[in-house]
Amino acid sequence: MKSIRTRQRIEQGGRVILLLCALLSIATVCLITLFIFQQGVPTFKSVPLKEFLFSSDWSPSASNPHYGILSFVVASFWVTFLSLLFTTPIALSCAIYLALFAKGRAASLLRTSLELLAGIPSIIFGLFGIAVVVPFVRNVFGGNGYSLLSASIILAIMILPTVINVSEVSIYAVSNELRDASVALGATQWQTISRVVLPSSRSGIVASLVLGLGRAIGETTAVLLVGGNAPLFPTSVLDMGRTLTMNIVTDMSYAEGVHMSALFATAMLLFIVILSLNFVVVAITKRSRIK
Amino acid sequence: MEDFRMKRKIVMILVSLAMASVFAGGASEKNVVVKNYTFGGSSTVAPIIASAIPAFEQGNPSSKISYETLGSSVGIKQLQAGTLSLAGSSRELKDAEIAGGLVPTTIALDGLSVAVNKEVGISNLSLEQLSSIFSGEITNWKDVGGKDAKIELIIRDETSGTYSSFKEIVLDKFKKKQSPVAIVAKENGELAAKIASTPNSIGYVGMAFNHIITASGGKILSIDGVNPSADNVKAGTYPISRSLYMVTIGPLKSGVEKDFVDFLLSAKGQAIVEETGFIALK
Amino acid sequence: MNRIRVNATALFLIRFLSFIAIALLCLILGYITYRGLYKSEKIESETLGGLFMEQDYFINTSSHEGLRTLSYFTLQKMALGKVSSWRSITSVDEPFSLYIEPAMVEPFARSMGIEKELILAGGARIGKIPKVLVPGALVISANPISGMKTVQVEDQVLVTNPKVMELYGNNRVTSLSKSQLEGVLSGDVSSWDQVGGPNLPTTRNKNIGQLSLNEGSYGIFSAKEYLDAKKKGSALSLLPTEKEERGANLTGSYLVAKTVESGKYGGIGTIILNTLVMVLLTLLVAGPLGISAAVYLEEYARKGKIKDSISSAIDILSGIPSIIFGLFGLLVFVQLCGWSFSLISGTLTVSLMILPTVIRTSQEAIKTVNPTLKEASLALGATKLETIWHIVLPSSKRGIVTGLILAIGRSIGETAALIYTIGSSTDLVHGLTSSCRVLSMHIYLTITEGQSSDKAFASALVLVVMVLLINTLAKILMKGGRKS
Repeated sequence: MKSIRTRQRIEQGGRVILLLCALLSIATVCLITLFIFQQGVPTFKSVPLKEFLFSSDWSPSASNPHYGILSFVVASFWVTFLSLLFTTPIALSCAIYLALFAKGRAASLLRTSLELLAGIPSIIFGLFGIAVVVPFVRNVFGGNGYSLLSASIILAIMILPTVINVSEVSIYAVSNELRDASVALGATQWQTISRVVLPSSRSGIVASLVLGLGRAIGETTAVLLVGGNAPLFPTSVLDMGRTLTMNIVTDMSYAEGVHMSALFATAMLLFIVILSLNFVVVAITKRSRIK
Repeated sequence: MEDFRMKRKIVMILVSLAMASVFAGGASEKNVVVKNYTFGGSSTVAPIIASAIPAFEQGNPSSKISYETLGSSVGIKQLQAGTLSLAGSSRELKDAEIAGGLVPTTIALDGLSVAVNKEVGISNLSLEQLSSIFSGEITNWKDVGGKDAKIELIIRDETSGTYSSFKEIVLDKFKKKQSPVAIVAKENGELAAKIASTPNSIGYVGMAFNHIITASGGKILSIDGVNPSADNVKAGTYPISRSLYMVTIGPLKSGVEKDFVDFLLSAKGQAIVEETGFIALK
Repeated sequence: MNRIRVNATALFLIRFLSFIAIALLCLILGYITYRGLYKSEKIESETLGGLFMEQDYFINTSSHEGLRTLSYFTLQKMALGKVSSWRSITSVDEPFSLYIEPAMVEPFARSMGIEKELILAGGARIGKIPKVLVPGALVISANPISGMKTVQVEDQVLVTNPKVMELYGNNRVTSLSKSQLEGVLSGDVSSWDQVGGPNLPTTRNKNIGQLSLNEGSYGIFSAKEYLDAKKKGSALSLLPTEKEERGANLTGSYLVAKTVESGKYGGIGTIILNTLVMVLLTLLVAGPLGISAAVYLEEYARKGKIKDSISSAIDILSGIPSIIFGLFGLLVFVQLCGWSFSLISGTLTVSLMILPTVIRTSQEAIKTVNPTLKEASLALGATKLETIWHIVLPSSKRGIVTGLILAIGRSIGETAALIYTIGSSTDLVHGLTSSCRVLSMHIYLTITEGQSSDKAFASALVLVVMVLLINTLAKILMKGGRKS
């Protein structure tokens, strides 16, 4: 047995190390922010902010280049919104299913498939999308199949593992006592779930949705292949579109000068959006906790 | 508990042994002093370099070369930053880059093939019909001898070298502009996959990708009656082609970079160019 | 009554949606497995499939993954010494060599329509066939050789009058699909314009000499007859037909073979090893870092500004597109730190990317530990750190390992962050600073450099199996601690 002195010293040392690890995440975010802003801010020397944000004219190779990202903003919004819309019911159901009916072959099958899904490279999802999702959309909705809708469907499938896994952990963690108490009071299983389990695991579920949202916004390769990638202003979800990340990835290998700064400025915008979403989520969860 | 701890220890020992052997194995192979060189850049040029490197290293065993597929612009940027000593580019250098001292050396020609989905049903187009199709003036296949169906355009992204070459040769010639209603593909391989799976589509890919088009059931068109082939491009009868470059800072002096480019330009190197589906100079 | 109905519908919906999820996932995994195991390519073949040459000799080859037929024209090239490697025929990287038994030289030369001298000049080895042959040898013998597979020669070709294959407007018949060929042969297709050709009636002719006289006529002849007629000066065209090549895609040898020429030939053996090394390294970096951060946040940090800002930082990190991480890694690790495109640049970049996942999932797992256990431990005199090490971490093992598994999955499948950092050398990684291609990068490069999507799917299948194996291993390791 080590002496009390040594153990206390280890305790203090360990605490410092743990703190440093936690601070690493802040450090990384700061560095990346600096990086993006340093590369992106010079854009606005030649491109007025209003044009950048509100014009849908993106033509970097024209003799008089324009860098308006409105079409991409709208496309990103729709794709992310729809993918979350598609994922949430399925993900929540699966999380509840796994947490409550944890044993059984169906549950293990689901679990294994989810883990495998998380490892599939996005380009394979893209190829799958081209082979299955795009023809499906083409046959059911018309058009050529490459659309924001196809992109949302593929994205919804891709973020399933993340959302399910994190919510499952917190749903599972709702103590048995709480559940037993609820059943003892005469609540049906669904009432227990909706009135006891879900509210207690709210933080975990919200965390999972935020992780999923992050993955959805940041996904590039898969949506690149099925979204059509046309820099047009999308007027319906069946239109081809280009999201902000698709724009960055598409032009990055060839861009330079103002064009490249404009791409980093796009990344800046994404960054600010995520930051604001963060504040919104924190505000919502804070308010509901006070309730 | 004990059992598990033992198991874990065994696994960790095995894992560290494996990793150590991997690293050590590489180190012990170095009997000769080998110098590593990093080239990189365009993904179009990559297949040529990938085939040329083993052939070059056979004659130069003290050099180990790797080529990183980063894209033409990132490659040029890394060349300027010093991470790469030679960059491959499928686009022409911009004025600013030339002013900064970069020098391109042409190593191959690349023809652009026009490909259509198998349902389209035609085998040839005139250059003018091609430009009308891509500018959006002709919208139905029946207007050019095919079946009655809406034409789906598939193009490359605006900043790609392939897009610029196609624009210059096909569209600008007839003073037309690319129609914005088109599916945009980011790479040759992606474009080929999209043509194969989109009914009634038409697009253009580098000639080296012809085999992917035909393997997935698409069809390569002849333009003005001329097939896209190395001979026809060299003879000048096939109209759509572009150059591929290796870029250096300043003109090529001595060193592995110069040897490598010389190798590419030699008979053996140009044979490799042709083997990979591109067109030799000369 | 209402409650029970609501309960029933709700539970039904939950089960239903979960099964939809299972179905979707099985669909995707099944699609990848199918494309990974079977390839079917359409190739334009000059020779008609399924019709073989009458030979008075046997052609033997050491088994090349299912090579059963050769086209007459390819065999001719081989006889003339124009084929130096099996690459262009089977994609296997083996040099080609031709051996002929002395007695078979005459029959062989005759059937190929080539002079004996030319065959000798082409480098064919004539003489007693050695017992032990180098791989890649093709042997012409009187009897089939045991231990080798025999190959048949397709030599029937569809010959037409040149007018049939001319360009009319924008239409030209360049090849016939299987159904089109059947239509022509059976007479259902009575005019060439039904298959994309000119308006000429399809007339079959058994005499090759007559073909050049009658517009629209076609016939099926042996390649030798066709070449002889052409040599005599007849104007003839050869109409290729579409053949569908079905075969195994992913094979055992592809799995272990070295990668040659950036994946064009050879297999993915070294790439698989590279991937394993990268995953291990990423786990070693992101695992401890992430778990430590989670421990700090849950056990030490007081509710307040610091905890909130760290949490926000983590959420922000998780939303940054992977390509930004890639560009960041390019600037910091590749350029500034001077590590160039290497294993370490890639690993650090990916670790940063998966850090939020690891931290968040570990956090949620640590939250679930029963506080009574912790208090008991502290009451017994353990320090906080010891409590964490012996009580908290083991209890939250399940959630933490789940998070790590997710992180492994993400890092194995990542491309955007690695393109600009890890390098694409296909050699086995030999140090932290060596360029190292991993499976996900290989899949991406195979598709964009345009080699073949079949190879990409084969690699993708391997990747999925790798994820399965690593996950199973992780779960086995975790099971040991479940008893607490």
